[in-house]
Amino acid sequence: MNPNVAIAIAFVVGFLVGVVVMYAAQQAKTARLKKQFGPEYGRVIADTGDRHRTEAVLEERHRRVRKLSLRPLSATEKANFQEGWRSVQARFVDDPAIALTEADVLIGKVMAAEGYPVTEFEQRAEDISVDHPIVVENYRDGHAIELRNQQGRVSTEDMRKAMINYRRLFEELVGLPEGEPAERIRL
Amino acid sequence: MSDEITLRPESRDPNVIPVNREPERENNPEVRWENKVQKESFAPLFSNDDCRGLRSRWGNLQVGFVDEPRRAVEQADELVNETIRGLTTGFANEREKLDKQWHQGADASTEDLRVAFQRYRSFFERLLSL
Repeated sequence: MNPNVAIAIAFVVGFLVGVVVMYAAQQAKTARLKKQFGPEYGRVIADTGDRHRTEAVLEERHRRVRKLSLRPLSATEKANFQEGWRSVQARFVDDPAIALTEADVLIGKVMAAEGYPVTEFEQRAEDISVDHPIVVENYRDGHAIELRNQQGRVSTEDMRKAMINYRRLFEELVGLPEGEPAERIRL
Repeated sequence: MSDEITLRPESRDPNVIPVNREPERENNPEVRWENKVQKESFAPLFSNDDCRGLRSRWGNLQVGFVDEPRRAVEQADELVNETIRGLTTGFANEREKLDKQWHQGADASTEDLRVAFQRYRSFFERLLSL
């Protein structure tokens, strides 16, 4: 065989292998991020309209949150937060709007206790999405209702749904009370 | 206005002037009546344990409103009914006790009747103050 041809074939093969390896690595990364972020992946891609940018955004989020020193809550903290949630939820009957705001504030306190930075909503949601990608949707839904409510355009039923949305996140962060049957407190 | 039943302190209706008037306070029945009603409104109709139990049940179902509003209202209705039943049963028992005394030939002592009457009035006042 002509050595030039052999070299050309080697180049082509090498190139093809390289392409396949890169493609496989890209696929693996996409699969990993999709698995990690679940619905949040779809949300971001709908936002950016581009897979590369989406994945860069999500990896950046991941890196940022891994740099935080997050810690699990102690049993006492959990019990206190759960008690706090109970009173917020009981408050709903007397003042749904205030209960909703208090629920949001309580979630902020839980996050601060776990070591998340105290920031505005969008940043908080992004931070949460790294480890809790499913319930972050609930958090966003609840928050959207709360915002609409501040403009006074929300029914009591909407506010109730927002409370349930907030609680999904709250339970994910804090857990259910000891001995509480899960089906009683869930919808 | 005159048709209304008034149990206000200023009422001069002989039916609502409390029994057992102390002669020296006779000249100021308004103050006495007011004191009496105030004191009575603190007389518990339920024992402390019963109150705690009922309140704790109410607390739980209020928390449950967010999960199932309709069910919470049904449960509230049930609890209110149960509470009222508890009260009326209490009064019915009292009445029965008095009846028994009457049937045993003897009249219930005036003192027993007086105490029973006061208890009825306490309940009555509370119903009106709702």
